[in-house]
Amino acid sequence: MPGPQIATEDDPTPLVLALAADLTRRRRDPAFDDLTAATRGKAGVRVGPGPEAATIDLDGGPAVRRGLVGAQVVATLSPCHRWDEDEIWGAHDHPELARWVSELTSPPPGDWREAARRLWAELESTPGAPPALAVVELDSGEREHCGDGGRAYEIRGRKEALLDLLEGRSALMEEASAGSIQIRGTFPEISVITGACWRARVDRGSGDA
Amino acid sequence: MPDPDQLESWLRENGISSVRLEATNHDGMLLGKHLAPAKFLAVATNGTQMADTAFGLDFSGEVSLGWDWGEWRGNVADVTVVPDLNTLHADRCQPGVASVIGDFTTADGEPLPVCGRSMLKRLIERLRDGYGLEPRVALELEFSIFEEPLHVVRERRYRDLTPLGGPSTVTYLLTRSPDFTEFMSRAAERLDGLDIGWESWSTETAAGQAEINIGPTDALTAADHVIRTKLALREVASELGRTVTFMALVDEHLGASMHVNLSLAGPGSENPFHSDAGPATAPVLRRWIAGLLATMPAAMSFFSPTVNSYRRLIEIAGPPTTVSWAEANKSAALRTVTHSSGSARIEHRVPAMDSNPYLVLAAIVAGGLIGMEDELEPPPPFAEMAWGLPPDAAPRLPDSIARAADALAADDRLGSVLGADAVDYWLGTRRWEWLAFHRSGGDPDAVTEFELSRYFEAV
Repeated sequence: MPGPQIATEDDPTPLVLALAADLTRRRRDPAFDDLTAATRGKAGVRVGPGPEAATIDLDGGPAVRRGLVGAQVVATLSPCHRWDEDEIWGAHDHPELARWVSELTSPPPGDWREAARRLWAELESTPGAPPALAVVELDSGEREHCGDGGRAYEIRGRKEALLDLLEGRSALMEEASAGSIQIRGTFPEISVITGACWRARVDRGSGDA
Repeated sequence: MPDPDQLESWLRENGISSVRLEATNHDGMLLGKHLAPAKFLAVATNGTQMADTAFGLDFSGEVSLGWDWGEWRGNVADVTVVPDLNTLHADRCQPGVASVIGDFTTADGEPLPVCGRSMLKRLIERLRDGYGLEPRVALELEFSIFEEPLHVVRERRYRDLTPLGGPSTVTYLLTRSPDFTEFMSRAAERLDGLDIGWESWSTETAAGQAEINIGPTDALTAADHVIRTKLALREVASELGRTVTFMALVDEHLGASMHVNLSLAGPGSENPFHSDAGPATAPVLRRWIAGLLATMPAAMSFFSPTVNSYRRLIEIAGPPTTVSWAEANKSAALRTVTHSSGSARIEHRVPAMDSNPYLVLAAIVAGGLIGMEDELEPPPPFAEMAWGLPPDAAPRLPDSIARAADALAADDRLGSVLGADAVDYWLGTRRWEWLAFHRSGGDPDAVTEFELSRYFEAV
């Protein structure tokens, strides 16, 4: 059983919400939950070289708050909120805490089909959503069709790019502009799907361990 | 205003070589086109087109995403801007130039749900039809002026600027250096040229800060005056090699408000906000106070639209921080001044200067309408200073863009009066703004480079 609910401060930032959701999901893995229960301290994360940062406090019930507040280790994440495998600041003095934060922020790869279904569950009742969603993985040519409606909004890409998008770690508009994702649908649907991806990212009630 | 079939002769008689069509998007940004006279004549009745990006780009020019845009946007469809010929004006300070303010409509001529000016017109009409009342609005506009010209301000990334008029922070001070007076005198001339009835100007409580008071008019004209005044002040700054901004807080000393002084004109000669029975006892006034308070947390999203707006909510610094009202008490959100029939009014002290005046006044009229339609009664007036209070002493105003958006989303009554489509669209844009701010780092303690580069020139 996962431990207690992750506490967030009042008026949390997007990064705080995302990390709290990550922590909730990851704790469904018993091994990671055990590791969390055995780890103490305050772990900071920073997104890229910029100022966006948060601190996860493991002393007491896990809590996430904005900024680097008393962090004993600091891991730098990619824009997709994954540990970029640079050295973790403070790891020499707090190796267990450093290991914990690296585990949290480098989760095992998910299943793009399940991610597509989770996104559709978030999307289907949203005003302005397409009648259906079709996701195509380019290497295998496999297709996941969600919804019973006629016209499907189609998203094509390689597995990693699809996973980042469907889990809300990357942005549809940017990925489509960059060419890593191909899309077929209306322009306003980009907006609605972007919102659903974000909600899927911070939703603590669903998602894989 | 010239008769529509006399437009051509009006343009000729006034020597007009260009007509500036002005329209305001949801963020309060002034958009438009410069039209040759022949083109203006061609579009004067049915309007001209703009891409839907007028409502689709954020302050930095990026596409805003995350919510249902509505069918009117299509796949980068056009929207129409229809000139309101009541606002056509030949600018005496800019010979050859006329300006006209427009309303956004669909291709079928229906008001666009997200057009704040159209929303305000609809609510004024609802008040008129339901109660025979017309809102009258006088405005206090605060802004900051800097010595440096805009290109230098840009080079410095909007930091380390020199307040015009010296370091004094004394309000009403007549002895700030003459360059301050020169600027404001030129500003007053510009407003005269636009027939905007300014009543007074003075220094405000920050170095380089001024307040200009615009006299009472109908609510729609008052909002029009705000957008024209801001443009005129920017033009004056450019002419004098200075810079002006309407940001809510440029640094820790420069909070800027847009106080709305509201009264009503009824069918008779009596002021509906005044009663001989005593201060703040007029039944219509009490309905308006109650409605404005009931809707205030939700309306905060319009009164403080940017992440920067909330930085001005500092205790004992001028802006209110609680949902409160009182007679002759400037620490409250609503200050009633009702001792005289001639000047009885509500001063709404919540709106920030970076807000969209159409949406602010629409939210205020909606609050008054709700108070009247639901026959609300206000709580007792706040008897003490409404700043620095313990948490249980008075309800707090939402103090962040996210909290204000949540309050608006939860207020179905205000949403139904303003229009669900408009509110949903607005909420989408506020959440986008919240996300953009935090992805930039989102320092809660100091004005960020994100805010300065995003808002300094745009709001």
